[in-house]
Amino acid sequence: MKRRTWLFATLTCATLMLFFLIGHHIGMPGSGFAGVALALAMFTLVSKKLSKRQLSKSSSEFAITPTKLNKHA
Amino acid sequence: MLDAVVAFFLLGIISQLLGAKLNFPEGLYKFLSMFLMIAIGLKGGIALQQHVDPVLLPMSLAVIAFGLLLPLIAFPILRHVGEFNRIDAGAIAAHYGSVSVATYAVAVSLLDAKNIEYEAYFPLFVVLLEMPAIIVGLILARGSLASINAKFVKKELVANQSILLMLGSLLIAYFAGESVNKLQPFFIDLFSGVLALFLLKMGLIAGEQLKKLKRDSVFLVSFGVFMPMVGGMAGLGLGYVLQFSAGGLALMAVLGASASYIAVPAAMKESLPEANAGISITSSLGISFPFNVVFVVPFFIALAQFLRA
Repeated sequence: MKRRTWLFATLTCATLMLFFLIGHHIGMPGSGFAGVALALAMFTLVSKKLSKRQLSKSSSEFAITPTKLNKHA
Repeated sequence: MLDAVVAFFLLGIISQLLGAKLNFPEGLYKFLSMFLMIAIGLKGGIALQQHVDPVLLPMSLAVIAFGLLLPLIAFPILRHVGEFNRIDAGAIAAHYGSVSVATYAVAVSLLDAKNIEYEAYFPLFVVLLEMPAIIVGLILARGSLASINAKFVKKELVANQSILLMLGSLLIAYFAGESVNKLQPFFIDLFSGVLALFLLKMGLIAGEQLKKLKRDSVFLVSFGVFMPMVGGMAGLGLGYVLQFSAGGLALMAVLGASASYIAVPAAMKESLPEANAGISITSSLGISFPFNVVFVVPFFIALAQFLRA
């Protein structure tokens, strides 16, 4: 997924959570529950995305590339 | 508590997603949408008989300006974040600037059920908001004013069924005086029942559109949720400035949040045939409409009540 799309989706989720928070504050039934569910879903997605990125970053750091081999030589 | 009318919409979506075969005659769907447009127009006309507000003209101008503004918010998001081409971005922006009569009908039904009063002239605003977004969307898509001329505007006004039916029935109810009461048992008393049937069909269509969503539709889903929230808040702000009642505030927010899927697709098919109609319909009908019916409409009603309490 492109970076812009990912950021826009996060912004949308954050706005939606703000709406749920307002809804909960003004006594709209079900919005508190929906807000918590969305927050959990977002947390899971973000942590998955971050762990994937971390994994790919660390694997690229430890990978033996021709430049690294040349340096050792 | 879930509203009984809205529950029919959810029934439609669930049965479509489960693959149930609910055969809905095509002619009946057209009849129901015509019924709703006439009923909304008549309701407005009957209410207008009782009081015509002198501030209606500046209010109407503000509403038209609002209709021009909404596609201008949607277009840059579609172009720069969604990376759509100019034509598709203009077409989708036009959908989000215009209004959905069904979403408006749901809001009216919920307000009536809760005995919340609203300004009588709202059907006029629904009519006024249909057109500006189509024009702005076309200008944005083409990148010039060349395609917009008097002939085009006249053609759109005459060909646009919702404008014709709502404005026509509003004027009929306004000028017919007491004789309009004869129509009340059919068009006004049966309104909620007909709306429930219509929403059942809309649920079936929305469920079908949801099935078409692909795995890489993250932007479309985000946009379909984001725009109603932004448009709704802008509408609420305008309603607040124009000093509407609680019901009026909620309706203005709903008009800002809703996206067209009847009038604009027809206009775009004619004026912008190269645009991808599938994307616009999936976004407005498959994502924004269910989101509006289930969450946005009750949310803005509650918020408007809170603000005017």
